[in-house]
Amino acid sequence: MKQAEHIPRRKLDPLFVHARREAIVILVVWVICLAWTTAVYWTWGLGRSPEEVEMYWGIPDWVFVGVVAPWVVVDIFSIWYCLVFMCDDELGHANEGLDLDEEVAQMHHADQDRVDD
Amino acid sequence: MIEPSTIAIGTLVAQSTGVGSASALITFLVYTLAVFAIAWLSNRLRQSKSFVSEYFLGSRSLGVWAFALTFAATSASGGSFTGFPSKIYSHGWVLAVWIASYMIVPICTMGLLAKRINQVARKTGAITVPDVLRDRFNSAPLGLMATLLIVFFMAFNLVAQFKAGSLILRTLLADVPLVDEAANLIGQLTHGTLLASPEGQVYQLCLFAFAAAVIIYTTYGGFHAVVWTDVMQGLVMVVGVLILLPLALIQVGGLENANEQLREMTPPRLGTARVVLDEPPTDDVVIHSATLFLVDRESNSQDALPRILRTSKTAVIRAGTGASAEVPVLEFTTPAVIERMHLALEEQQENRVLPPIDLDIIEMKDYASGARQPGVYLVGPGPEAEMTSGFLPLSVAISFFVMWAISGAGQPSNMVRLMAFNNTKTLRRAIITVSIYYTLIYLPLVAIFCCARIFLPGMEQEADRIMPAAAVTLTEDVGWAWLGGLLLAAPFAAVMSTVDSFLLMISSALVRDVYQRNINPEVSERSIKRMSYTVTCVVGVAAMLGAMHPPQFLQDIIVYTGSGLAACFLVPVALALYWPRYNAAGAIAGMVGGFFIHLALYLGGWQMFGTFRAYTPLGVDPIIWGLFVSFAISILTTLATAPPDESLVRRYFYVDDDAASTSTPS
Repeated sequence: MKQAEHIPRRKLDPLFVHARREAIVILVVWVICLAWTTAVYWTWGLGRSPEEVEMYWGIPDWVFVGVVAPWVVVDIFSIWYCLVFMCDDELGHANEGLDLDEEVAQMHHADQDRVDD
Repeated sequence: MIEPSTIAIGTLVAQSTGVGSASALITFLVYTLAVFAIAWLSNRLRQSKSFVSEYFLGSRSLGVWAFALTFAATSASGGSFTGFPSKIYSHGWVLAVWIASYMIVPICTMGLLAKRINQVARKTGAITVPDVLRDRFNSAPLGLMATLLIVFFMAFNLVAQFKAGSLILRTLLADVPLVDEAANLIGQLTHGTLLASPEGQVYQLCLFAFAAAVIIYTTYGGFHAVVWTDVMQGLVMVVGVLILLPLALIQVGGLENANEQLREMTPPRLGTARVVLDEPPTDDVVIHSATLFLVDRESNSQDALPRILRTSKTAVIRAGTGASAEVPVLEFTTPAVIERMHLALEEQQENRVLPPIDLDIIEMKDYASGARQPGVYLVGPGPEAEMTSGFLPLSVAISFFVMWAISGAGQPSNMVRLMAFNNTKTLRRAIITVSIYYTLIYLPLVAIFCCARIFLPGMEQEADRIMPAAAVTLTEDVGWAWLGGLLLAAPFAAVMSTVDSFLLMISSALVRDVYQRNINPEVSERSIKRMSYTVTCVVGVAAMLGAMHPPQFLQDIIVYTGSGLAACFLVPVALALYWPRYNAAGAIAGMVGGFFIHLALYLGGWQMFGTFRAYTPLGVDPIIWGLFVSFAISILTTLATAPPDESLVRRYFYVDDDAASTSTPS
């Protein structure tokens, strides 16, 4: 049986390439969000004196900066990401029942082999 | 039975008598009829399509609204409208950090895997997640193992969700006379049988009603019914929240004003007490929950304020006895709240028709974290009754940020939806829709239930009822009682939309993955159709029976199963989609590794704490350990074993040169 490293030169599926690139960007954004929110919480929201807390639009300052503002930014990013960055790819024809057909064919083939033997 | 005119006050009356009303019952009936209508239409729509693909996957034809809202509604389980509001109410603004990961959840859970899993599933006509794994690696053992894990986790979760749905319904319909009568009848009919529930007759009735509605529409309508009811349920949820927000802000005079009051607020003291009468009554006396009591100050107290306690459960003083059984009580500690309660209590004293009732306090305890500290609801880690570390220390905040996004991406119920959209344009628009949807749900919920601390103080011991209590209070106060019924449908919709998806997942695992793929691949369309209906119905009934005698630690089981599924499935599925070298041995090892490390941490926690609680080395949640181990074992096993068959790699990762020009930048 031939193995993966002996694959003849073919073109990588463009959808796979696009999806991989898009997934990497998502992971980077996720790490940035995690770092930002937890850093703001750690330095500004955790164990702070309630007396010092100011209100931005009625929201505690550390919640506004650490959660609400990045949430809005991520929403805007998501809109840009989906409308501009993300590619439209052809998902391909749905081969309904192909897996079953292949299995049934293999099964019959095996049965035939047994009969032949 | 005598019911004294209790001294429950103002808005608290809604809590004391339960939130049930005719409007809640009418809402439930109308809602259920709408769900049935959708199921009927879905079944009609299905007549001309291939059965298995249509019944379990909607023929991969979901458009933007259906895809976005079914995804959002399935993810936002009953917890979003019961557990989450309850936590906000109990711990304050720190819940904004607890839920903050939802800013990135839509793009993570949909964007990371959607395109690829949809494409890979289409290549072989895979219907379920085990199908995808089995076909991708051409490995029947892997498919079977994935199926068993799904059935194992989902079965527990389904029972827990059935109970959650019934509890919500019981809260909504509490004290509706018709419901009480029907519950008594059901109780008599099922007395001494398997169908009798130790949870009580009203719970039993609500479980029957909830189970009947979900089982019928899911069995009859299949995936399309689940999706379109999810759409309706998703709309009900967001509309409910958007109506509640302005009402809550008006009630407290604006968010800034609410926060100024929170700045002075301290956590209550919690404990237990007996309600006592000077003279034993000749008839049973019922003292409703939320009754206020003025009690003597403790001998060593320097406090000048009166001491006011509130019952959190209905107390009954039986005829001939002078005292009730123990009931949970709460003592207000915030000066402004005490003054409000005292004023109201004095005004209501004149209405009392019985000799004075009093409290015999058995035990009162301060919060372990945040006690007597004004303003703890405005900052982290948030007050906490049991743990001295507070509600959200940094390590827990990080764990939750990782968990919501990553755990969501790893749920098979979400993955199935990612296999069902019709094209990538739909995907792009759906991510935007869900992002905006979550923004409109979660941030307003935090504000609403921080405000609820002001207009409904003292509900810490029954915080799970804060959502319906707030809905009824806010709408009655503005004279729109009818609207309360509509808002009460939101939590019910949330849990229903989760349960129907899980029900279909288990059914598809048994019918498709076990029977059709492993036992009889040549089964006829007619037989598979009959089997699908039967299995869906039987699984639903079995879950209902399980919920009649629900296991302990229900909420913990929901958390365990959700994180366990992610620990088992996320890494194998993600690597299967993105790493050509990944092989069946690596996938099996990763799945087993994730499962066992996650399970081991829970068993270790059980051993250490004597209850269903996970051991968290370095303060890190088991899901993160599970994902880490699953990833490491997957990589190591794959590299140590033979590469996958060339034909599989070619099928899933490569195209012929002339077929490669099928994508366009948006």
